[in-house]
Amino acid sequence: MTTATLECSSFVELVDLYVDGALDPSDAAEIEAHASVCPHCDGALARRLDTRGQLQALAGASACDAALLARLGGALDKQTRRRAVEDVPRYAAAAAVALLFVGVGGVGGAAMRWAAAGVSSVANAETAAMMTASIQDPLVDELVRWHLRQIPVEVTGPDSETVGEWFEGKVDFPVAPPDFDRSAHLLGGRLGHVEDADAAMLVYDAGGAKLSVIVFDPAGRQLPTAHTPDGREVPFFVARRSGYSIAVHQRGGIAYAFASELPDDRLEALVESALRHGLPGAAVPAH
Amino acid sequence: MFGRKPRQSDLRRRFDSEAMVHADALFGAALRLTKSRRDAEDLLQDTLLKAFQHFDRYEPGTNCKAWLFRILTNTFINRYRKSQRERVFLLDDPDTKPLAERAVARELTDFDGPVGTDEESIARLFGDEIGAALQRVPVDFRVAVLLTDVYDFSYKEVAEMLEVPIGTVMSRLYRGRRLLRAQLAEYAVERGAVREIGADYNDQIAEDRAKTIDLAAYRAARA
Repeated sequence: MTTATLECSSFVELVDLYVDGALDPSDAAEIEAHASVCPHCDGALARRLDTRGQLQALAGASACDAALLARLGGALDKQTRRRAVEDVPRYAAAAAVALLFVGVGGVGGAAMRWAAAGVSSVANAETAAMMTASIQDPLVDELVRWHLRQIPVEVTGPDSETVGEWFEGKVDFPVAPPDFDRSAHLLGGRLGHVEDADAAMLVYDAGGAKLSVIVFDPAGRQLPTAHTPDGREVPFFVARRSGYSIAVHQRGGIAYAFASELPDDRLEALVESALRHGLPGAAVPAH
Repeated sequence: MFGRKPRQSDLRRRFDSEAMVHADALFGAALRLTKSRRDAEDLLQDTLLKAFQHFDRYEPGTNCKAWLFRILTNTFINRYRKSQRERVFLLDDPDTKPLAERAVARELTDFDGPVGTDEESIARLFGDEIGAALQRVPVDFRVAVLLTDVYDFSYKEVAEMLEVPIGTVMSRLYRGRRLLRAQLAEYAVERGAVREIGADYNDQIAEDRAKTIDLAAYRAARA
């Protein structure tokens, strides 16, 4: 028979190990023997076992609902597809990409300039999954520079209405920070400028990567829209500069530039999400 | 190392059968770590995408659940630490901090905020006192309690996940449990189950004041 020789202070030291099953059998027996003769310590042991039981019950208390599972499945599908594409052997040193431009309101001089400046002349409709072009326009450089500038925001997110209202009276166009369906969170905004015109600079956190949205008045500049090689018209174009991707969308006299070091397909998905939610001055494209 | 790369579709099938079965458990843990459902969903998605990205390096037959929880806790802790740092940059001496540091500052995230949140009140409202109490336990201790008591990982597994010594896991765990019990005792007083802060709570305080137990030393002495 085990005798209760344990002091209460030793019991307190050992009881957690006992609950975890981490004591050897002789120590465990001492704990049990002490608890059987000491109501105070028995209570302490009971509280621990009760708490442990309640905590264990939490393990089965939450489940992913159908919407969440669909979202996760979609994200994994996308990654599966992307990696499958990456696994395809590359036959050419440079990926074949194609981008065709048309002017927004008639083929203006600016659009011609953009189109003529740097569109890859190699078109391989089979492998060109994205529309990318190395557009040699100073505007693209300026947008990348703004994206790279590490300057404090003047109004903080995440409430897009607050941030939008802050720009009222500061720029002469409405600013409604785009909604990216949780894929990117608004950190804040500040005033900036693009080619001497006022611009709203918005900064987002897109899964740890910085995403800049620069809203500006293109002031008569005709930005191009793009077609994919299979002829699908897309409401924005993507340009690359020094490892950064810039997507530009223009509608109703307001231009939106999205800049990030994210892969093109992720940036593209973000832009599509923003367009789906609608942007001021932008008609919602049919999908 | 020059072995044939598995096809993505095969990897995906394996991932669905070996990893996705733990999605509910991971989501539950994400809910207890973050303070909102939205953050928990984001954390779960990031965890699964990271896991899938590295799934070709996961050894079949090893503990997939532990591997996934390791990714989940590290993703959470990194993000949490980052949000803490960013907040410090914003508040701390803006004139002498380099611009680059201040530019990434944001005011508050869901990870911050005082203990005792809306989520916690809502949890209590629906009778989830233990969940609400857990929300009030500081992050490091909460992670230890969550992994050990809720998800039943061993000290050793948790130590590997968090990349800390076993002794550290044990002291965090016991500290976390004490805080949790003290919180539960307070709830009991509030809802009148205990008329006043009485025996239970006083015991708790006495336990907290009991000499600090260095479990690593304790175990070493016993070994």
